[in-house]
Amino acid sequence: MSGNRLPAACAVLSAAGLAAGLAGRSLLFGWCAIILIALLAALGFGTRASRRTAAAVACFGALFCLLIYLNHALHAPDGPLVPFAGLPPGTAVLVYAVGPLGLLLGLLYAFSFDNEILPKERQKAFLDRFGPRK
Amino acid sequence: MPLADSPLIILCVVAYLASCFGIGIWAMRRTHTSSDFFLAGKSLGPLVVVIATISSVMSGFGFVGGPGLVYQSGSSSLWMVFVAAFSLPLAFLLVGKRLRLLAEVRDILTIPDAVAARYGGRWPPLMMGLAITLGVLGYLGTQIMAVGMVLRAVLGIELIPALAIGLGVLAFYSIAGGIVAGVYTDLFQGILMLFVSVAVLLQCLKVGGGMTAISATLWAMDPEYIGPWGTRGAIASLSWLLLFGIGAVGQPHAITKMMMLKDIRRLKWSALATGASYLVLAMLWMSIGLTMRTLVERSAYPALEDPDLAAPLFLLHYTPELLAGLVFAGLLAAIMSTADSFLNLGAAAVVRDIPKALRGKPLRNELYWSRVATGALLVLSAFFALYMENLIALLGTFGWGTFAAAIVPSVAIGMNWKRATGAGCAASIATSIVLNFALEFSARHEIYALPHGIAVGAVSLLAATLVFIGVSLATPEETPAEDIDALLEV
Repeated sequence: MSGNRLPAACAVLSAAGLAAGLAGRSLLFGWCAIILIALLAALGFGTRASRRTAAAVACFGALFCLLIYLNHALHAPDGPLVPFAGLPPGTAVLVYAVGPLGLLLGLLYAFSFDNEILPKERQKAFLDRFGPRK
Repeated sequence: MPLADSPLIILCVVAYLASCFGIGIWAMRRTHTSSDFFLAGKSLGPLVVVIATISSVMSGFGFVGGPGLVYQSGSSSLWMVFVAAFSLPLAFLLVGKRLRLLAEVRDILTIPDAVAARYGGRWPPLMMGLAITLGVLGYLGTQIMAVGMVLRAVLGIELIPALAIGLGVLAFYSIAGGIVAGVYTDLFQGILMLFVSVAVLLQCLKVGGGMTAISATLWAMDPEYIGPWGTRGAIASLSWLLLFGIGAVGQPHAITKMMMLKDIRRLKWSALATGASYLVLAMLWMSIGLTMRTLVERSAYPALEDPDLAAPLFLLHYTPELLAGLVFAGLLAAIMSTADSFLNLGAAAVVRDIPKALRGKPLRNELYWSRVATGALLVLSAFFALYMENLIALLGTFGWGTFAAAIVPSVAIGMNWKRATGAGCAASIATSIVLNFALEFSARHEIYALPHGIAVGAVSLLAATLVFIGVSLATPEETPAEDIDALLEV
């Protein structure tokens, strides 16, 4: 269970995201969205998360910020089409990287499930004390 | 909607409708209590939960509206679907474990039940019940109208008889079999959708002459269209990333399925499997829209009057009959499974959540009244869809955003943050309802539109999150019940 720091950071990011979006600052807005998602993921893993998991969540956020940047940087509508695997480079980043790399979070969840998300002993202790319907 | 006069397509659709009846009869025998009706007795395996989750999230919008959006504005809407790879795992991460454990120790059948257990008091579950009822009415109306339109196209009959047939089948299996029938038709539909998504992608590449040729045609037409942001621009696309990337955590028809899992430890791989399966479905969303627009640009097909016709026209004219038949059956299945999930949620809100919040106890003979409420909601939604089209369109657009802004802060953050309070929960849900409705209404009536194409739901989600955390920190700390306190530490 997290203290107040992560939720407070989520509030700050929400405010920053609102301001950036309404002001039309697309790169900043995209980064706020991604960092907010990473913060929510960190909230889900909680304070019991290992350093390795925390580092993986941070990498997830950083990687996606980079992808958003690449979407912006590689989009060159004034030049000729130079396709990457059949798509314009910026779009290729979306289709071939944003989607598949998003699965990292699911992998991280699976690999940390037994030790961090829900160790069997914690589950047993909770259910022994309160359930079913005690 | 064009007319599908092929006997093979009609056969596929009729076979699907008949199978719904079969599943309804089978499920009726397994539905004895309100827990069976709303949560399938918490008896489902991981495959059923995974497939039922992606099926109910995809809905008719994904099969018809998604390709239509791509046809209209290029890559913009891809930001809605490709983010599902992490948004659905995020949902498992934030709420899966705690909702499922809560269902083990308390009499929890619905999201407002969970909110009542987490925060106590009358207002949080009442506000959540209200948000869910409003969202459900809108979603149901659009799904029911879509059922009528698809059956009209396939069977070649008028809208009213088409609606009567679709509603008859839907009423039978959802009233008789509750969510048990719903999730097993979802399973059937999900497997079908996964298969046809891959088949349709291959067919699109064949018809369009490969991805590079498709891109070249579209680049020559408008580089922005096939660029990463589409014609709606970066802010609109990124607001969809935010709304769909985080908002999936707040879709009650998806997260309720996590409470139905028989063995909580099976959550482990379900998160990854759900995200990966949804990515496969995204192929259909992307490929049909791009290919149809390419064909129009090459003058191989006349421009479409309505972008939503992209998928049905492509299927009728460019795919083998059997594949088209399977996709039409899958389309009908997608719409009906989502409608069934919402009927179930709506019945729970009307029969259980709101009465419990107001009277402090549920109705007697809950199973009987749930079936009555399911039937009544179906009739009411059909009436709204037929005679109050504007209201339904408004509620339909505000459904996803309202669920996201109401449920993400209060449930997803609230289940992971002890300092969250009931006042914060009620205030954030009120913010979600008011902002979504006011902004959608004012945009629709050209009173005020948000700048840069930013999605209303994304603004509401950010504002509701801010309100939830701010009000929680500003109100006195609450001491949750002993089991909830322990749950928040698990």
